[in-house]
Amino acid sequence: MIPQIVIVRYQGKPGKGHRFWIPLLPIYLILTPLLPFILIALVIACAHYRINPFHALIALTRMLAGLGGFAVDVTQGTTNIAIKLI
Amino acid sequence: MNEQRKQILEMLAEGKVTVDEAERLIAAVETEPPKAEATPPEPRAKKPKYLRVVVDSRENGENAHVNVRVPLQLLRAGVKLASLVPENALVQVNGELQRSGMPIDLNKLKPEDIDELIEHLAELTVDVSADEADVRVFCE
Repeated sequence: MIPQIVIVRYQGKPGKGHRFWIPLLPIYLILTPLLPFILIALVIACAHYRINPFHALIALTRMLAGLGGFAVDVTQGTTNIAIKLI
Repeated sequence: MNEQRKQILEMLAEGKVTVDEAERLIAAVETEPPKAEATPPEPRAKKPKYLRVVVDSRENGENAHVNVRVPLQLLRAGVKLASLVPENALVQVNGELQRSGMPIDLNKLKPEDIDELIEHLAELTVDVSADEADVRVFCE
């Protein structure tokens, strides 16, 4: 499933942390007007490298859909940053 | 005639094994299937969904912990993306891999192979321990 929310957690000092829930749907909607240009660029790139643009689009969509559940959590000393896509 | 018996008989025909050895091999092969048939099939293990990489590092007296969780769906999509690579580029990449001592043919990489690989990844655990870092890779 295409990620809908990004959760970013930042903790600089023990006991002090911030957590942000960033909805991705508004970002997708904002990028919608750019979609035709992105598609045109994709078709031109595919034509240049002799790749089927339809297959490329499907593959990219699958990659985007596969990002749901991706998580990175880094802790160093007392600093912790966690990013999670759901 | 199952595949294993056929292979044994081919080896006998080629002279790789003696008649006694072939007989023993066939007997060994024939005793295995009944056991497999008698026991009920094991329930399929849950398919792994994520690849986890956990790194614990102890450098310069400071501890660092990295935990990455990658959905295996992304891996499958990545294989499909690899199939889009133009043929002449694939030939070049294969050539470089061969020269580097990795006899991998990317042309043969198929999504079905990835599904089978992922199915068997459920029990894979890689544990690497060094003085300054511990790395653990597993699927869940």
